[in-house]
Amino acid sequence: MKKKKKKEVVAQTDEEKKKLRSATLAMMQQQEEEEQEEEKEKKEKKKKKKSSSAASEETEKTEGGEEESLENTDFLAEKKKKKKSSKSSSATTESSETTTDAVEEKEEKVVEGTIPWLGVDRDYKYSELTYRIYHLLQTNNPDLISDQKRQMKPPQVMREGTKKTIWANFAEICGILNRKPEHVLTYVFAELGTNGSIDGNQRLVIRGRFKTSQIEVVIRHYISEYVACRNCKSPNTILERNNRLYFLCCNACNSKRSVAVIKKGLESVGKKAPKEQQ
Amino acid sequence: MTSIQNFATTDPFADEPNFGGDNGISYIHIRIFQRSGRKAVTTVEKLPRDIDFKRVLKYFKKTLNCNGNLLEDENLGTVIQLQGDHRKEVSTFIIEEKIAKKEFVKMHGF
Repeated sequence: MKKKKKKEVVAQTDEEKKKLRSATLAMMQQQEEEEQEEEKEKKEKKKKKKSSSAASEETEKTEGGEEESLENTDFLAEKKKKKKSSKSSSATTESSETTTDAVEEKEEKVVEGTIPWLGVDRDYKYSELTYRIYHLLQTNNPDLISDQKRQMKPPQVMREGTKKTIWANFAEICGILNRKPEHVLTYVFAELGTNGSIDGNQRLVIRGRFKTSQIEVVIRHYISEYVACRNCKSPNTILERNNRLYFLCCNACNSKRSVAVIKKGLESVGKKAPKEQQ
Repeated sequence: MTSIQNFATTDPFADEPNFGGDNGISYIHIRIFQRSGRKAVTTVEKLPRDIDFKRVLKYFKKTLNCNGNLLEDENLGTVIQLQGDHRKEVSTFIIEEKIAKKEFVKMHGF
């Protein structure tokens, strides 16, 4: 029993301590919570924005790449607006910041909203700092930070008969990747271990049965090997032949690297010969 | 000056038509070829020459429950051929037995 009592006493003291702590930390916690809520709100808004923009992009994707960039800029503008509104609401909640923020808002509208710690004597939070740097990057040079994933058109793959597969938008995809169809073609055939041809409508006829997902994997490998820049991962690259070697030149960061020649498994040659004889 | 003559005489790329970025590093290529219907053939190219191909092939055949074959090729050397799609199993085997590191195993196909 004594022990229990002791425990109770200890618990009571603990509770008191907790109360004290809570009393002392109440202000801080409240502030933090408010800030967190604000951040959450912002994130949610961002997410909503992203999803909506993605949907719109998907619908408008067929109309070409330039519009995407335009959309990007519009998108950023909208984001800014959102941030402004959220900031103003936060300013009303925190009295100390209202005056400074208000002044800030009038003086410089670009940086406004990115400095929540202005006029408050506390350490910067990591999230705030990252938020700020991303915001600044987005406003000043959005090319560096486009966080949305680059989307490829899915290949349209159909079956012709039982043994042949038709890849309908082959030329279009080559155009998007900015590569010669012959190069892509040799790669695809080497990877799949088959052969085929391009028909009159610029469609690729592949021998063998292949699903869309399988072709997608091949395209992904091709992009990682022959399109995406190794340094900056930008797809804005050129493949040029120089001195019997293929070089991948990046237009974004000017890097240059040599690229492996497409090699067919010589196995396939031996196998095709008897097939063709049949 | 006689030693300098060596520089310009021969084209180092002349007898190497497949010269590419991966030269010098010997990747092990695992490829797949479609046969009729669901059937496929897996080939393993450019395994290091000092391994016992027969034993490796026998092990593959036993563990993967398939038939296989050894092929001799002029450019690629000995090639292991297995019936069915065993690319993953083969690559894990190569990595686990430390025949080659993961970066040097290239899996082709879909």
